[in-house]
Amino acid sequence: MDTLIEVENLKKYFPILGGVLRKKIAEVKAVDGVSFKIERGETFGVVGESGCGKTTLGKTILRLLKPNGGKIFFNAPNDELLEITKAEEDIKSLNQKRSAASPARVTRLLKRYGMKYLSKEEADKLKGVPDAQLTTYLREKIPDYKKYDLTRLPSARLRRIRRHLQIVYQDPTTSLDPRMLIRNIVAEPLIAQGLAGGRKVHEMTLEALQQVGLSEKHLFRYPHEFSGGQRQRIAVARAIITHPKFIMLDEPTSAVDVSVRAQLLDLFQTLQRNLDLTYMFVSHDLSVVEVVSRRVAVMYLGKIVELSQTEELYKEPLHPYAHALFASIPIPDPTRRRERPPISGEVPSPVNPPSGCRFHPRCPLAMEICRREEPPLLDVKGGRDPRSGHFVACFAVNRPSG
Amino acid sequence: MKQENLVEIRDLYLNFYTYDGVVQALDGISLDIKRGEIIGLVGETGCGKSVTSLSTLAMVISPGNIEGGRVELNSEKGKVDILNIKQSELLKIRGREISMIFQEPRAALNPVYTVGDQIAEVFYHHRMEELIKAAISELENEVKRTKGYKQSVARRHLALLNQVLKNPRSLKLRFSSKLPILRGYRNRVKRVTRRETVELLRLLRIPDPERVVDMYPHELSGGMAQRVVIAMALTCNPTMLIADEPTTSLDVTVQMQILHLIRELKNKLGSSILYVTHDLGVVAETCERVAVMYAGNIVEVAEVMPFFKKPMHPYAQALLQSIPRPGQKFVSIPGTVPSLISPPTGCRFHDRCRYALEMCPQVKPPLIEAEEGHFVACHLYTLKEQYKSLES
Repeated sequence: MDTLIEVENLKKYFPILGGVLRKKIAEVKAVDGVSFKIERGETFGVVGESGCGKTTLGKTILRLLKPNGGKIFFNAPNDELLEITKAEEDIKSLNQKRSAASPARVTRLLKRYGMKYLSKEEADKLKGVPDAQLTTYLREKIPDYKKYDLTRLPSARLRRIRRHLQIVYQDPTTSLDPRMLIRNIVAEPLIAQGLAGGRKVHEMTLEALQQVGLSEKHLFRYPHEFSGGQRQRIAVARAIITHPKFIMLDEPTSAVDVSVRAQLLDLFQTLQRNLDLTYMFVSHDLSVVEVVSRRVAVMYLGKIVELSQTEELYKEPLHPYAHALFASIPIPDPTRRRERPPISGEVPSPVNPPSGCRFHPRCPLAMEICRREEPPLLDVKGGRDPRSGHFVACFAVNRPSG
Repeated sequence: MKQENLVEIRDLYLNFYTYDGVVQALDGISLDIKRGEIIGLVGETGCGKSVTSLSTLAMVISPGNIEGGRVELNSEKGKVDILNIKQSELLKIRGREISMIFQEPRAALNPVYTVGDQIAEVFYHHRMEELIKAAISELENEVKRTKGYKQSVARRHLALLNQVLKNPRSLKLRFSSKLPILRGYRNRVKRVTRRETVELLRLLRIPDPERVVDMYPHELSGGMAQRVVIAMALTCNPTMLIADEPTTSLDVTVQMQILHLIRELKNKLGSSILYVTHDLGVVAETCERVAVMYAGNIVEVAEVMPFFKKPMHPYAQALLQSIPRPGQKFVSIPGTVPSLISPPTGCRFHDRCRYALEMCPQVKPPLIEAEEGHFVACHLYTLKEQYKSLES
């Protein structure tokens, strides 16, 4: 497995404006220095209570929000290849019109990619060859995948990458336009991205709908004619139609009932297998995350406090907050009733988070150092492979040596 | 030990008249709520669980209409049918004997009044007399303790408050309430109310209740707002408390705190609680009995322990299996919840049921007691009972 997404020290602050001049008077630190990696083909779960910044984190990774700091690397299919495909199509249509190949295109393509991927001699050699040969030659030279830094990518190129990054929102009733037909809703990403036109749009729409378990008869209906589960399926169809690599699922099951929830989770897993998708599954419902995710990160007030493989985390959460959170899940088994609530108090405001470790005012293990210093996210297992590590940000767990 | 029934719902039918047609939301449900128990009412969205809870307070409004049935409350004065009493009587029962905690605490609180004012409103409505009496006894003490001017003011106020008890609309009171010093008698009651309110908030484990009393709802967090709403419901120590998904909009850690609080308050005050929820985990955590609803019918009623160990109705079984659990493949129920405009005939679950018999689409199964205290509405069990009676 290789890394698909790599986040380094990501920060997203929302300003609070005040006063007559609407000046910034404070900041909500929704995401404050978060780093992790998502492997290709895995489901990365993010859990936490409301207001801990999990949705903001997801939206910032997709660059729906502009981060205030940090880096997001996305290992995507090279968008330059796309341009060459376009050039090839152009050449084809030119040849059909029986006009000569344009020398201007050769120089343009050479100028753009020649310098980057070819040596000077190679480029010189290619100056005279016909366009068709040039494009195949360049195609061989340009690598299939490329690591993009989404925080620094110019907007035009970001737009081309966006087809690989999709999102499914929490509530399908609000994320689907009530005045659009299902056909138009599902096809919209294709048209917005300029990926298809004409008959192909119809074919791809139908294919996407079939993949989520809907059919041709649903094409000409409006969102209100569907049940909650079906609406969420439509939202999923809209996300997969551009053949993305990465989908962020933002609480996709919290607006539906238990029986439908199981059906949706089933669908997500089938799609992941068939389409080679990578998910980031954001939810406050810990039991759902446990079922679908390979690795899970627990967030508290804009920070990751624990990150580990799912089984390890759910069996033995090490961070005191994670421990309290997992102990708060109501278990459908009356023999395992608890005598007292595992944690008291509520999440403090992210405008003025506590100093040091943000959990220390509610923490049963709080020490002197917790008030002063912020605990780093460290691997407690100390294994060689960081992908199977168990990371915890707590002084009580990661005792300073000795 | 057989407990006495506090509320008996019998053959309740309820329809909604919409433009699309008549929604048969409740299809003859019967439910007993015993004194001092927590009973959970579970089901999916649109199965009629909220409407059931609203009917117990006769709060169903147009386009909903109760077509038939009774909701009997065993109050101190004897049995009353809530659906068939005078409005004035009903107003006395609501909030005093039966009260309700709503789902969304923010929506249940009025944003322009302070928390204290809103709780005081319930006090004024139901317990005015008690408050005045408390104020009077306090004044009597003050008359004894003080001297001179203070004593004479206290004496005046005492006389006026006694007058309020006798005849609140008398000319004397109306006149005195305009005079600066004399009208202070009203503040005496207010002061007592405030003290009671603070006590109540303290009971609900709200930190720093003296400050919270003067706060507006937007200053409270979700968990605190829900505590305030629970406080409002508990002002009169109701014998019956209806909690309509009180923790659905809260986070898990806060939810757990509220659940424990509700359980603790029940033990302290001895009220019965009808806990409406869609989360079986919450039921297992809080309730003593559970009633499962599906498409306007109650399909199973049982004690919590046997229910989770061995659910009887196929729908209840499927519902328990569809809870995601690690290491287990979750089983989803095929199909979707039927529209209640034209519900399936017979047993409303038959088209999704994996054990469906030939008779299921034709005959509606009655709710029978399959085991002691374990009621189920399914032909699988009615048939078994019939065989048993044939054999014997």
